[in-house]
Amino acid sequence: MKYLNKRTGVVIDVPCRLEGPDWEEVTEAKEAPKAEKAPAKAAQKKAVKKGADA
Amino acid sequence: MSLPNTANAIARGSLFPPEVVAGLMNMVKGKSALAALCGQSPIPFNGSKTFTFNMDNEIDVVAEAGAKSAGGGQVGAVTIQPIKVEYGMRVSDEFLYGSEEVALDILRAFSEGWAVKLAKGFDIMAMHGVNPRTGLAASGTIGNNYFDYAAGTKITYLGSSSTAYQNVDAAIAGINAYDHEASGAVMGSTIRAALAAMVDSDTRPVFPELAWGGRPSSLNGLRTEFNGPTVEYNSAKTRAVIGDFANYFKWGIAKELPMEVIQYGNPDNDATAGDLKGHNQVYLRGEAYIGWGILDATAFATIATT
Repeated sequence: MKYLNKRTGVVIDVPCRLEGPDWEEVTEAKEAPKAEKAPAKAAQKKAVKKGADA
Repeated sequence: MSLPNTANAIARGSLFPPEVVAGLMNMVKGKSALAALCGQSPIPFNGSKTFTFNMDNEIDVVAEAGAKSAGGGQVGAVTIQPIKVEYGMRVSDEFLYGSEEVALDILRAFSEGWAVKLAKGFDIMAMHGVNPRTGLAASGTIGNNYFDYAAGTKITYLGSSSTAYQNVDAAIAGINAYDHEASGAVMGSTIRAALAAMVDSDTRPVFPELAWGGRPSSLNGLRTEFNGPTVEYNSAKTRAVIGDFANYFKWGIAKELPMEVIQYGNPDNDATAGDLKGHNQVYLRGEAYIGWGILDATAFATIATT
């Protein structure tokens, strides 16, 4: 699990639950929204093309 | 089994009472792990206020003729207000006189026991914020000035040997994230046992120094104190407190009153026991004013079950 320290900006990856006034769990959507969307779109386009060829 | 005392054979039986060994064996147990990890500081009787200063931002690179921005800073204050703690007990006149005759120094034993109780009670108060005698939250006196509440990073204890190791690592990572270093750890019996049971791929203990009840003064270079009765006091969920005790925790005894032998009145407010003189009793009392402060909560982490 990744946690962001809102005060210092440090992100740590720990195997256990962490709490505290400055800590916030980093979800995948918050972590890298652009990086995830781009390959998904490319994959969709390829799938459409393949379908058109068939 | 004692033989009967008959006319034919004289047996010892219960004729000779056992001899009283001079001196009392003091059975009072307890210690302070916090006092071991952090030296005592002078605390004024009226309390102290320590101002803290911090610069949250970093230095700024400025181009030629470029505009500068403010870095900013913060000033805070931590107040250490000593609180009164006491321990007392009733003793009958007869016991006092009788104990003098057989050289049982009850006053000395009480004095030594009081010091032990004070040390143990200090840890319980500073870790859990409760009154050590009742186990109830001492919100009026201790408030939020205790590690279970104040620690900037709270780690959930996962409950096995390998995860105990990871818990400690996670706690230190949390402290490091604030740019602090851990100077020590106070561990309870559960996490100590979990780490002692941890083995590597060849089933060799990772911490052989913990085997058979070993209490090393450091693990992996981190100063350690083991104090199960205070860390896990009254079934507390806490398993360990880790942090920079050397720099960001402060404690001291503002005033320790000499041990009192009270002869009159009802000093323990016990309606049933009543007046001391009316019952030929005296009351032994130890009393002290002890204060502590967590100067920066972000320098500490707790490991606790949910």
